[in-house]
Amino acid sequence: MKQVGKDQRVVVVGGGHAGCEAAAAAARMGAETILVTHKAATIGEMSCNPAIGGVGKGHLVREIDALDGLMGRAIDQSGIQFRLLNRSKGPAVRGPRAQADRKLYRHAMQRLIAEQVGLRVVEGAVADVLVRQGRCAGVILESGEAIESSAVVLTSGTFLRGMIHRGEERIPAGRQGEGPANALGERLEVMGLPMGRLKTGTPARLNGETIDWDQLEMQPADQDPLPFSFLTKKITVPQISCGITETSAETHAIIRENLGRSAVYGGQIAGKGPRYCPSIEDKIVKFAAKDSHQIFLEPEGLDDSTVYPNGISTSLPCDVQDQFVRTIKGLANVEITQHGYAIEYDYVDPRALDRRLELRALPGLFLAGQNNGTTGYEEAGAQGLVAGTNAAMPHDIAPFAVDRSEGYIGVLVDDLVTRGVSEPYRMFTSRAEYRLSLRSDNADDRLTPKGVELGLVGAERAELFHVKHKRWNDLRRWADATKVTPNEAAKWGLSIKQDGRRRSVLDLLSLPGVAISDLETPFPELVGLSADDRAKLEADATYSGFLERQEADMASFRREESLVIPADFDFRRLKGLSNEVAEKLAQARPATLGQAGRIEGVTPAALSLLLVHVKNLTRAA
Amino acid sequence: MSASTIFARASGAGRAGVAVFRLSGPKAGDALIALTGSSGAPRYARRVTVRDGDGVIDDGLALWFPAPGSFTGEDVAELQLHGSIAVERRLTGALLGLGLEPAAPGAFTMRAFAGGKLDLTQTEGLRDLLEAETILQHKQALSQMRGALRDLADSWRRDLIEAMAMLDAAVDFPDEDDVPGGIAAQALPAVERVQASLANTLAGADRARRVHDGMTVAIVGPPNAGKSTLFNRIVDSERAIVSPEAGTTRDIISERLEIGGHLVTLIDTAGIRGSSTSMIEKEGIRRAEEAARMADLRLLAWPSDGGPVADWFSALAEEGDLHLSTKADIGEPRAGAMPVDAADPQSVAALLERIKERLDQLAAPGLAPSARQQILLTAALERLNRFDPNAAEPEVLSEVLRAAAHQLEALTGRIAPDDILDDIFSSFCIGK
Repeated sequence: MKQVGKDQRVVVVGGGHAGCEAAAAAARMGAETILVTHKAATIGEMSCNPAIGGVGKGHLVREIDALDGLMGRAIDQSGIQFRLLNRSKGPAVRGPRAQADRKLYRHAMQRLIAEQVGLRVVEGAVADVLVRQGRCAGVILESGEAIESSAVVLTSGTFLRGMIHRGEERIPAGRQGEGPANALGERLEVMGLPMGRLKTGTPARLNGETIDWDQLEMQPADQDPLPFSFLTKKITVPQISCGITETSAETHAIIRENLGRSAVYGGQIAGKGPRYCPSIEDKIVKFAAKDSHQIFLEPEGLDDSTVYPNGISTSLPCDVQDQFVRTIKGLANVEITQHGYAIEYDYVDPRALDRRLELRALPGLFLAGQNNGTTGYEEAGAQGLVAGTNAAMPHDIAPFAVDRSEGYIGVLVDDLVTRGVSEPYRMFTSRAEYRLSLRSDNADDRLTPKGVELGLVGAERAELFHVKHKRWNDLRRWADATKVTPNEAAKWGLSIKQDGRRRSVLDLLSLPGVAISDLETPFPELVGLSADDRAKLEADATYSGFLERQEADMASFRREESLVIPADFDFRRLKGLSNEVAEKLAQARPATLGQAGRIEGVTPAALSLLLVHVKNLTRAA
Repeated sequence: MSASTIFARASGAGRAGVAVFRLSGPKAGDALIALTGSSGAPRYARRVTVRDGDGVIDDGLALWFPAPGSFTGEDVAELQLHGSIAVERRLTGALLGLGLEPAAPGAFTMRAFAGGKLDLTQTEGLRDLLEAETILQHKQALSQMRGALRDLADSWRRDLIEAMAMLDAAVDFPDEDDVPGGIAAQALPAVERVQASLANTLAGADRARRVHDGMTVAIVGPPNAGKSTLFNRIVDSERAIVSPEAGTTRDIISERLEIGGHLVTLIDTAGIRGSSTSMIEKEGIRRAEEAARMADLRLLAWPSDGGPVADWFSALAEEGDLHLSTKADIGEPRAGAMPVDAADPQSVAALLERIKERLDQLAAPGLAPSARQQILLTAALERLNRFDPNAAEPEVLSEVLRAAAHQLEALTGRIAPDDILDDIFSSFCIGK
């Protein structure tokens, strides 16, 4: 096993989803890794919605898992409602999602961290980073203790000058009940980094024993839960159902009357919130025509009566929350165990980072997670994996990077470092231009070999992948090589043009209305396929033609991506470039021609100019 | 350290009453101050004395267009001085001394394009306007330069984004009750709007191209049908366009004219005979026939006293061609043909009227005159025609639209995934 990072020492600050993946990845790479966190007991805490995955997000989890990350395994050991979203749509956009037992998830994550060789956890608050010869060389704890390292990964989440808002209340905090990391925020400010402010919110938590479940429509888990991790054979955690309810006219009236008392609408919050996860106040103001909004009542654990009401995040004062929640069907007598709030926090403009997620202004300091302007555990975990892996690598070898044609991780990092964020960034499949090719079923085919080569993926997974990959290749070859005549097909009840043309099994599957199950009788080879192999076969059939064209697009994308712009290239000297565009390029410092093209405001003409110059430079070198 | 500042004489070269010099780039303002003492109020003409270290260069007018409100989007200064070669030399020396660089051909437009002031279709319109010779070319190029095709393409793009947003909302927010079902059907009206508009634009594209390229009108017929006389009469009566044209074979006489606002290359071909023994004549006939076939319109001249027309003559005719019975003064004009007497100005005028009517059918100003534009629009339409609301999964339909949108991007600019998300968030209440 390769140990690229064996002479490196990495400190990871923060034990959230980014921190855990970063620390574990650095350790897998062979680096001596220290995870510094306020409180070891909160490692792997789900501070908001107790769920992992979804459309786009589920893709990210499977990619993290394909690179031997932790998140997929942790949710497989703690998920209490597995559902494959978009089941009726094509394989590219099906997204695995699971609600977690919050406690089980935390325990699973803490176990994985504890089992990781080369990783040790230190409790403490980080006051500052050590800087030597222009490089980040470790951290200084509030106790005064210094921990030296070759690199530091900072995953402070919403703790950078976090401020909780609820009505007129202001509580400086990262997450309710924990202190904010203000000293670090000041440190980043002193460095002159471009910073911004964002906000997000969380709903009140309810006592499930005070909910009238009999009144509610229930949404069950999938019959046959599909695991996230390629290593998990079967989900053994008991599965539960969620309740579905909705706001009423009365709810809306109460909220409307009290809008002035909402922290967001009272004008106390300047930060931008996510449009796809609006507070209930936002929904009522912006979509005034709708007289009701859906709410999912999600139990937070098997032996925990707490319920997360998904869809009513709010920053209204406690008394208004008590009032409006009880106007919702099934919640007339509900007891709130913790009130909702909005949290405002600092983030670093991710355009200050390179593809390793390393700060250009301070080599050796990596940033990952919510402090880069993203939202969601999956987005955080994916960045942690990228930052932790790179932090463990000596600087003179090529960085670990996933590009946009290889995975959602690539889309995420590229969007962040080239385009920045204007609201908390969440992954959607519509962000991926090669969506039909980047599927959750083939995440391991796309990424595991890369991870194995780098030493990021352990022996167990490498071996399993090898077997699985061979089985799939055999199946795929068989589906192409096995051919039938229209007569034979007609005998099995398939309506096919009697043109005498022999069709392969794959051809048959690409006909409208023909499913794998229709061919199981004549072809026992198709019985009992793994979920991934089924989905892959289906994708190759459903998307035939599209996948080939996408392959060509991806090849041309990689060509542009391989045109590297020298790190010291002076964009302002480029003749013919308008000032405005030159300035944008100089600030964003794209590493490749492809990246340059994705920067807002860089015109095709400017790109052609750049292309000519970069090619000339390459020729001269 | 910054992008270079360029300058050039923007009006024609040589001696003239007035010459206009344009400066563009970060040093334009400093140069203007160095030469005239101040930059003056933006966008107001100002009387100035232009000097360098050696003294006064000239008196004239100065204009100051600070970025981004200028042609290139950069700081631009313009000087109107006397069109003297000596003044131009002195000014050039002064500007070089101030660190400015002479502009390469097209450099100002390139900067306007790179700076996002013009899109690609507008750049093409500007090029066409500079080259326009006829009334209709002027009309077509002007509307293109002012963004007619860009505006249309933008509206197509908005519709496609709207349709993609519908599809992608259903894909990315499957659990939301606020995202309506039956999404493919809901996306369809926007797709159909674009299909219809694209088809309509393409239907006029060939006619637009003929406005831009001009048309060839060939006079064909047997020897001694009065073709050359007719040729000379038409040339005499219409405005000749003197700019030279390459590619005409030497044995075919041609002249460039403006007829009814159209650019026309009128050609007079060698007389064609059904049978010939002379090698040279045979070659001349072959070329005449080829020229006739290549022309957009044929004037088929057969003399009124020439008896019934030959088979080869009928074979050359295409739909919409004008059949002429020439030398109408010496014989009975044949049925179905227009009698023409080249010696009679009224007869020639009547023929010109018929030619003009026919040219109006063949060519009319339109939105997509260039082959580049037609290819991209055709490709976009082909892709859109694969949108089958009954058949496929939403992600496949979205892929079809994405492919169509790519063609429009190539036409004008780019499409960002953020645009789709923006549309989703403004249309639906997302967020459970």
